[in-house]
Amino acid sequence: MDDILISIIGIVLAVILMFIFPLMTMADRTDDISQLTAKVLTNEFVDDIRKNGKIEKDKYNQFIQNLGSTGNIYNIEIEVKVLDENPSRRATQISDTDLGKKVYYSVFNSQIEDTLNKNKEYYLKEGDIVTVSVKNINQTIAQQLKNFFYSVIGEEVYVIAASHGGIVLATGQ
Amino acid sequence: MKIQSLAIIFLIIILPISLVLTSYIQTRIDTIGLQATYDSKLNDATYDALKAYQINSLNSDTSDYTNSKMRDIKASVNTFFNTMSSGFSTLGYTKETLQNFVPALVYTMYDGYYIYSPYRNTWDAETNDTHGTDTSYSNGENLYGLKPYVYYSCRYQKVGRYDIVINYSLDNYIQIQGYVYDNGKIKTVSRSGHLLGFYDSDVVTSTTAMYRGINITPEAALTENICYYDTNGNFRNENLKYIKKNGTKYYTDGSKVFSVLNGKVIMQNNVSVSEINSNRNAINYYIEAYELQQFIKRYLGDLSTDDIVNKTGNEYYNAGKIFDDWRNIESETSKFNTHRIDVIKNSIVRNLSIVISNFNNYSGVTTNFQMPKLTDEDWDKIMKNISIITFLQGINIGGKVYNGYSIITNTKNEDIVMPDSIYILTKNDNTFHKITEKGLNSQGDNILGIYDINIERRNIENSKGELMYYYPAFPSNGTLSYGSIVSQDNIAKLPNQTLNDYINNNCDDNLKKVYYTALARERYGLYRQKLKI
Repeated sequence: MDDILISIIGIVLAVILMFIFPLMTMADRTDDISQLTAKVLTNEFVDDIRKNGKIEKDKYNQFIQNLGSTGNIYNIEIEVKVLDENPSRRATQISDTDLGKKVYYSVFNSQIEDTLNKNKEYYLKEGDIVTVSVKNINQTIAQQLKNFFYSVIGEEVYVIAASHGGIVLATGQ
Repeated sequence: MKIQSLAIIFLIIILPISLVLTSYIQTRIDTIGLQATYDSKLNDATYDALKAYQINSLNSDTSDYTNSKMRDIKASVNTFFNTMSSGFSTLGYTKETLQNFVPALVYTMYDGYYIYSPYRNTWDAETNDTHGTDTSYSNGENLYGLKPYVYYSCRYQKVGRYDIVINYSLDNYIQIQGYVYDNGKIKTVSRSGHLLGFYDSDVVTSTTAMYRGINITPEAALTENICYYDTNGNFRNENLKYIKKNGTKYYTDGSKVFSVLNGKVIMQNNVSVSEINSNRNAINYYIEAYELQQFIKRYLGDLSTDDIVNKTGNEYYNAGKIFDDWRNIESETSKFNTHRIDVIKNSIVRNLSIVISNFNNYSGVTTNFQMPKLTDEDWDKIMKNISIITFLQGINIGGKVYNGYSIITNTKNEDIVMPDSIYILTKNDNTFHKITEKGLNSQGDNILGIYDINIERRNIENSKGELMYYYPAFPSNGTLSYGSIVSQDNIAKLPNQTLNDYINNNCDDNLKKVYYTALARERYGLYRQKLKI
């Protein structure tokens, strides 16, 4: 009886070590590579927008496609803080030693995608700030395996995330 | 064998493989992450360098002159290395160490470029005799500095017809120097001007001009805000009439004409009040362009890429005759423009390749420095306006050696007036618009063309010693349009339409006249070195 119990425990341990453990390791590595890909793609996309001063529909679609090639589904959030110089100009004209405050107003995904669908390009100018953040919304294999042992509860449960932003360096033409 | 033994053996095999794989992938991840970080830091440092150059040149009255430009560029280079060293300081790199990884910085200007790179200081015999050994900048020392200015030029020769050098620029402005044969006799020439696509029906005389069917007329005096110290040392902030000629603005209060240098008044008597009241810059621009066109048609009509002197192999695209289609000479796809871009590209690539490969002799780093291949998109950016190109090579980032570059364009400068630098001011609401905004047709006298640099902020120290700010051509209740300047969501031009195309097909005659006049007036007023023979 004892022998059988130990054998069963041994078999279970063996199965875990021979199958589950390598699978979990490989799945974690896959997630690491997906994370790296997402980070590099996001950095390149944002740096491209910053240098050219515009968000192009073709490049945006290419970005989404390349992200999809990692095998995961992502939630992409683009925020553009548009610089409005009019208030600071008025402040300087009222008091010539006052530089005034720069005012930014934000534009998000739906407005940007609207413009991209109509005009194929969303133009930015020097001084605007663009931020792109990417988070996965599906469960990766690593997450599914880990859920056997523990589960993470919460509104946003993601393992792959990348974010990059910066000031736009040239006005788009 | 017991299954447990098999499991242990399996584990002994798999575990090390898994650990090694994890470690390797982590290294690759770190390398690529570091590369992306370095790209960002390089972009930021280049942008800071550009901003420094922009601020210095916009607030200087002498920024057009060569020694001022060199001073502004040196300040910009310092800013670049300062930002780089603060970005890399966490990794232990100082400014002096980073210089070993930056083979060159290129500042592309309107009609040429500067390269900042190391060189070996070499004394001539006289300096050797007069200076001792305990001086700075000694003989044989490696120093960093600005190399001589290189023009975008090309020499053409046809026996019995011409032997000339054409200096190109970032727009259609050219300078022709050399000699041509006029009825068998050699004639030395020095001509300059913009190449424009006049219609056959355009009439241009020595005093009147027409361009693309639009009659160009003298403009009423332009006014702008100016702060200065008058001849008695009193601080003044006034709105005065002015004209810009050869890079200098001449102001008038109605009786006398003066210019402002470093905040102080300099009286002028080579420009009259009537010239300011009736601005003929635009007319003179078109007359100069028309005369240049007639000169080229007469003497250089069949100039082609086959006439290039010292051509080696296929470095120049065989465009054939570059001055044969005048109607479309301003188009981006014209033979002239294709050849112009070729000349500029070849000049930069040739000199930069030499500088970067020579850098191997100066750098203390054991890396083979080579010029990276710039993409077509990069060249497009370089051609659009004056730019800074920076290179960073040789830093170890784990699995490989970093090799990157950054190109940032300076869209706010007084060296060049690009077609999209002209804003349209609607006088009834004092709002500035881009010409591509919807609703600018049928405005009659309500519109005026303004150069966008003239609405940028300037500063000066007032009589109390405070730094005060002002906008030269921005009215007191002025606004930048939310449809085309603050954000660009009310644009009538289609994405794949060129600006030239849009103006020809979508603008009414009045808007065209205002735009053409403003563009011509500003271009004619720029500082250009002209050799008069």
